[in-house]
Amino acid sequence: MWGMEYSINLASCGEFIMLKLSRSTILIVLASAAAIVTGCAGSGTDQAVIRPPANTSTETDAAVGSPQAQTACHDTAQPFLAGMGTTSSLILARPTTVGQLVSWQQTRQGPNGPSVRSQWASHNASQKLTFCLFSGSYAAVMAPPGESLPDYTRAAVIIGDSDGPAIEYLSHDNDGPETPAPAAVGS
Amino acid sequence: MKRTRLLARVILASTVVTTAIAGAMTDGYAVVGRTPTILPAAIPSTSHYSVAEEHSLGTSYSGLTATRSDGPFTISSGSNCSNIYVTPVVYQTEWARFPSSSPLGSGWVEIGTAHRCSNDTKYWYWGYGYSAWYELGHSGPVSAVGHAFTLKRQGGSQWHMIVDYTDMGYVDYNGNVMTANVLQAGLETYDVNAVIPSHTYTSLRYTVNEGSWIYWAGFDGWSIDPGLCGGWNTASTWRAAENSSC
Repeated sequence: MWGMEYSINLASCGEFIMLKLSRSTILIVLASAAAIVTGCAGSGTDQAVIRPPANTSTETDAAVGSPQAQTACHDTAQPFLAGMGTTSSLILARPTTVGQLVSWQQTRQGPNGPSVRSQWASHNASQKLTFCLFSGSYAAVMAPPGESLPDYTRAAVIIGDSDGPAIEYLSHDNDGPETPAPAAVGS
Repeated sequence: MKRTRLLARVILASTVVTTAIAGAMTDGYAVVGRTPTILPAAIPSTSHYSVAEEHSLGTSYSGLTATRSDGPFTISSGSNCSNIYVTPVVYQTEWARFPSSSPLGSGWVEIGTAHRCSNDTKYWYWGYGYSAWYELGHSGPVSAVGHAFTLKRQGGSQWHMIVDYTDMGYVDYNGNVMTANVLQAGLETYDVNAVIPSHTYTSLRYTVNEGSWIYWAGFDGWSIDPGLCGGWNTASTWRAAENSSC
C-alpha cells in the first residue's frame, strides 16, 4: 500500500509536502495537486513538480512543510506531545483550515470507511489551522480492557489560531487513515 | 488470544465470586458492601482497569449509558494538564466494542472523562477506535458533578457520543450497521499513585436494535487489575476505586 513515494513541490503555496502514496491514490493526489495549483495560480506562475521518490535518509526540513507550519509544529505541537512518548521526527507540517479538515474527516478512511462529525464541525470553516504529523513512540492509551495495543508510532496534532493543540489521531505505521492529512491551504 | 484470556479470567473470577457471594445475593442483586474482594490476575500492562461488562446477548447491542460523577480524584502531579493522553492520567470511561465479524471489522466507540494533574483537571473526550484512535473532540475543564454518558447508535450506522442530552459528535460507518458485542464501563488508570475514592457507575443500561433502554441484569463480567478494586452494588451499578477501599 505504501509502495511508492513522491514529493510534490507547491512553491506558490509556500509549501513543500511529501506524501507516501499507493498506486491507486496517485491520480487522486495528482488531481488534488492540480486543484491546489489552480487555487494558487493567482499569486504566481509556479507549477507543481512531481519529483522522484524522496530518499528519507537525506530528507530535509523543506520536505516537511512550510516554514511557518514547521515552526508551529515544533514550537506548539511537539511540546504538547511531551509525556506521551518520544517524538523522533516531524513528517508533515501543513497549513489548512477547518473547512478542509472537516472535509478530510469525511473521506480520510477511504470510500467505505467511517466518516465523522467532530468538534470542528461547529467552528468557522475559514478558521486557519496547522496540521502536524509526527513519528515516534507514543503510549497506546485509549485501549479497551484486553485490547493491548503496541505503542502508537504516528501522532497527528491540530493547532488552531485560538485553540490549543489537540490530538487528531494516533496510529501505527500501517493502520492510519488512507489519506493522512487534510488538504493544504496557503499559509 | 488476549480476548480469550480476558474471558477466561472473567469466567474464573465469576466462578470464584459466584461461590463466594452465593449467600449475599438477594433478588439477583449483590448486597452493598458484601461483594467479595476479587483477586485480580497479574497482567503486565501500563494500564489498569476496574470495569464492568455486559455481553450476554452477543452481537446485539446498539447503545450504552452510565451515570456517574466526574471525580473528584487525587492524581499525581504532572504538566501539560490539558493533554488528556499524557500519563499520569486516569479515565472514567465506557466502550461499545465491535467484533471482527462486523461489516468494517473490529473497533470501538468511546466517551469518558480524563483526569490529569494534582489539581485534577478534568476533560470530557469522545472518539472511536478503528485500528488507530481518532479523537472527535474534548471539552473542559469540567467540574466534579454527575452526568449521563451515552454511546448510542442511530439510523443504523451512526454511533453518537452524548453527555446528558448534548450530542457531542458521531462516527458514521458509511451505511454499515455496526452492532456491539461487548459493553464496558468503569475506571482506566495510568497512574499507579492516584487515589481514587470509591465511586459508582449507575443506571448502567443498554439498547438492542436502537430500542428502549434496558438495565443491565446479568453481572456478565468484570475486569479488575492490581491496585484497583471494584464490585457490583446492583446488577446495574458498578463501583470502582484505586488505592482506596471499595
